[in-house]
Amino acid sequence: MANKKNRWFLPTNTDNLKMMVAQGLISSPDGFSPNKYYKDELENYPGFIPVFKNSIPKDTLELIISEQENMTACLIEIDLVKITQGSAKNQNYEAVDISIDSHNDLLLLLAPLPLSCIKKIVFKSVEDKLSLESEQKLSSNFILSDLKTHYSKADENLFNANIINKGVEFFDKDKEDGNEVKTQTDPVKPVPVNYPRIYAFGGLLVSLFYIAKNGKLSNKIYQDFCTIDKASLDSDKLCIYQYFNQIEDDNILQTMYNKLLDKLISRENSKDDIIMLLEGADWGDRFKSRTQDLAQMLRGFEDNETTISEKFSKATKPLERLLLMLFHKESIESLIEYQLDMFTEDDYLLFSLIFGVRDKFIKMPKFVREYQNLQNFISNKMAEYAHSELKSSIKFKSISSPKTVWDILNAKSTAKKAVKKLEITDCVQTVMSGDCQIQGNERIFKGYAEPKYKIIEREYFKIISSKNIGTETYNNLARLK
Amino acid sequence: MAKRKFRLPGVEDLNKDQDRVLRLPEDGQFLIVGGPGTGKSVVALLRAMKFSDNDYLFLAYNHTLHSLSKQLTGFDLKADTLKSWFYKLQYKLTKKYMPEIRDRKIDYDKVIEIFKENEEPASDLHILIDEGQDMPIKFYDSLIELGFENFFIVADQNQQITDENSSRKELSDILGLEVKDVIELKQNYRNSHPVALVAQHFFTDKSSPKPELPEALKAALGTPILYEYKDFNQCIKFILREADRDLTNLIGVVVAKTEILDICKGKLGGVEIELDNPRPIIQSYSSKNKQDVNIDFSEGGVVVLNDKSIKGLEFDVVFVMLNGFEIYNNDEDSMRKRLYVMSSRAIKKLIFFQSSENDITKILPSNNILQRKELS
Repeated sequence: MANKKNRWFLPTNTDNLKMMVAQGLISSPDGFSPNKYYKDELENYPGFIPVFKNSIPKDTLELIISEQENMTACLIEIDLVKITQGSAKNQNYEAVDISIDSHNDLLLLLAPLPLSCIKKIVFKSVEDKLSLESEQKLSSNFILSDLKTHYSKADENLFNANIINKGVEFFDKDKEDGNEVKTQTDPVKPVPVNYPRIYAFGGLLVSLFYIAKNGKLSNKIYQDFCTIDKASLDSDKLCIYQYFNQIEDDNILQTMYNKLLDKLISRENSKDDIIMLLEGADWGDRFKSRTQDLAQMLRGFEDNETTISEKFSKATKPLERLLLMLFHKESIESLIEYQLDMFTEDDYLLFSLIFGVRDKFIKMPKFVREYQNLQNFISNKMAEYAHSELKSSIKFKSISSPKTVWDILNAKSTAKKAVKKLEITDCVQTVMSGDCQIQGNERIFKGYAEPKYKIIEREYFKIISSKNIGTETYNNLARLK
Repeated sequence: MAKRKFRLPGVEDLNKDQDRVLRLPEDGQFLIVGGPGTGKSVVALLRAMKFSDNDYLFLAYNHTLHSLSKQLTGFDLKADTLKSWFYKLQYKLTKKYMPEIRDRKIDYDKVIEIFKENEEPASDLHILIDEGQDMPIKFYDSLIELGFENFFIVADQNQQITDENSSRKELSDILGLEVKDVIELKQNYRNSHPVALVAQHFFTDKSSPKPELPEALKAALGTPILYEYKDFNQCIKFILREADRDLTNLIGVVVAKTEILDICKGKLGGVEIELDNPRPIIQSYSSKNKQDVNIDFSEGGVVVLNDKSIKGLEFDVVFVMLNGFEIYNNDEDSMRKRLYVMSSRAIKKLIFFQSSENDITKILPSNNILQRKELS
């Protein structure tokens, strides 16, 4: 008889699950939005994701639905195979291998984990499962995408544990006069994860993925940020790149970007923070007059004496335009819908980078997050980034990036069909190489001549930058072969 | 023109009190209270969406709110206005006209008597009521007499704008709820701190604490302004330039009387001005017209309304035309309540216009809360 494989579960409630899916990572409570974490085992193991082998202790099952009435329990089944490298801790905080066959009943995995580590989400009843699925229609960022929800009669038992407190097994027991005293090896506290920065990086990648449709340059920048290749980054974009890769550079522009990005990432109200940052006293003589001018420009943005296009025309530097746009548009979604003829592909790129950072993964538009495989890919990227920041040895099974619209339009096999689907034939030229004879309306080539389709970039940008690529359109394009 | 959408909240946008509301079971009696911008209507709409396959009805107090709710949810919301539905319900049961004390003033005592005698089986209908404080308690009494059992009411007694209304205590008593069962939403998500400060200035209820203010910000951006003008056309141009900044913004212009509404609408459509974009859509509705609301809330642009019609609505920018508002019988509190509702509709900006000092000026907040400027 074949050995039954072990299953590993993170027990929680549907409220925490929704939050983890929305934020794109299975995280510790400090990775949750303020006041959105509901009690479960995560808070008992700071910095780790505790996963239980095959069964859940009764008190844990009670704990996860204890904070408010009518809460719903669920078990996130973790696929340990998706963690390809690194170690976990056991109940005594000793390093152990991450293995399905581990003899430990509890493994503590260093947080965060990507959503791709979720094998399935197990429910106690079919009603609970359906209820959670239907909650997708009530939210802009709870998107199950290809996450599997599961109910089976057999798995009902997982919710009916009669183990009174399996937790005691996780501690060294000292018995005195029949009383159990829990003692525990002092846990080594993991280095805290800078979650806002991780989520900002995720937002930046989603935003770049969307804007990669705009042309060759935009597509290249997306690839650069994905693959850590800074070859084609100019000064402003290089500053953002260096910020996320913590490359030190004390030039004026880098310093200004570092401070601006810190503010955008750490706080909710960016307008107020930007003004306070620019008007602050800690800039020193080297920066002061520049920052004061910028602050004045932004305060003046709110008045109605001139039109928006006049205000933007006066802003000559990328950073000035960027700051004005941060004041003008309050979400990435409204930026995507916004058109002003004067903006170039480069302008939109910079706006998208910074709006992705400000709004973070959680506020990325639903219609983009629903692009096939994008949510999973970005989640993996965020988890990789977090673990590289932590200098942890954990590695995850890699996921390749979904194809960008530009990739699809430029791949030989899909270009023609994609141009047709997007109705952008006016932006395409057909090029035939070789000598030809002209007979009436026909050009005759000797042998087999292959036509090549070429995108006319100027025309293309004009049309595509004002075209929204919805979920259905993108997913149809991604399926082209 | 730019499309607007009812933006579904993200998981992180709902606080734990709102989560609690959304987890409430389908059957039962529930009362949700909270000040302006605390998300009462949002949770009511989300509940309607959650149970959209079942037997429920969403009822709003005024036509504009009813129209907005229907348009923005993106699905076929089963909705009506409170009074209109009540008239139809009564007629359907009795085949007689509604007993009234005077025109459109329902004689609830008689209705209760009629409903008591009704022998039809109790209804399973789930009733969701927005702005529940604006109906008298006898309205609820009569529904209970008819056998309705499932109520989900959202209310704020500080936003009562009718003379027939219900207090929080009356509502919880009639639903048989203990104090702990009433869910209170406290966090103001709509208004910026400076806008909420102005709204709070008009708060009248001495028996309950003032609504919580959003976090104060240091840069003092977006402080509401009272502009004194000499030429009314300057106000109109100001409004048009504001609308031109962002075509997805919905701008509310609140006026006191239908005559002013007509003048504003005409000038907004006619005055000469250079803009970046085509002139915004100008829409209006007056409750006096007794017509269906013909406002498309899914488009950005300017909507001119009287203050009775703006209940429950929200706008990116609100302009209040103070000329025409009057304090009757020295009842300042009544005017304050109206100004409380008007000011708290604004999400980003709140601007008042007046041509000269009048009755209202004395109840306006001081300079540090409401800046004074001249419009030239």
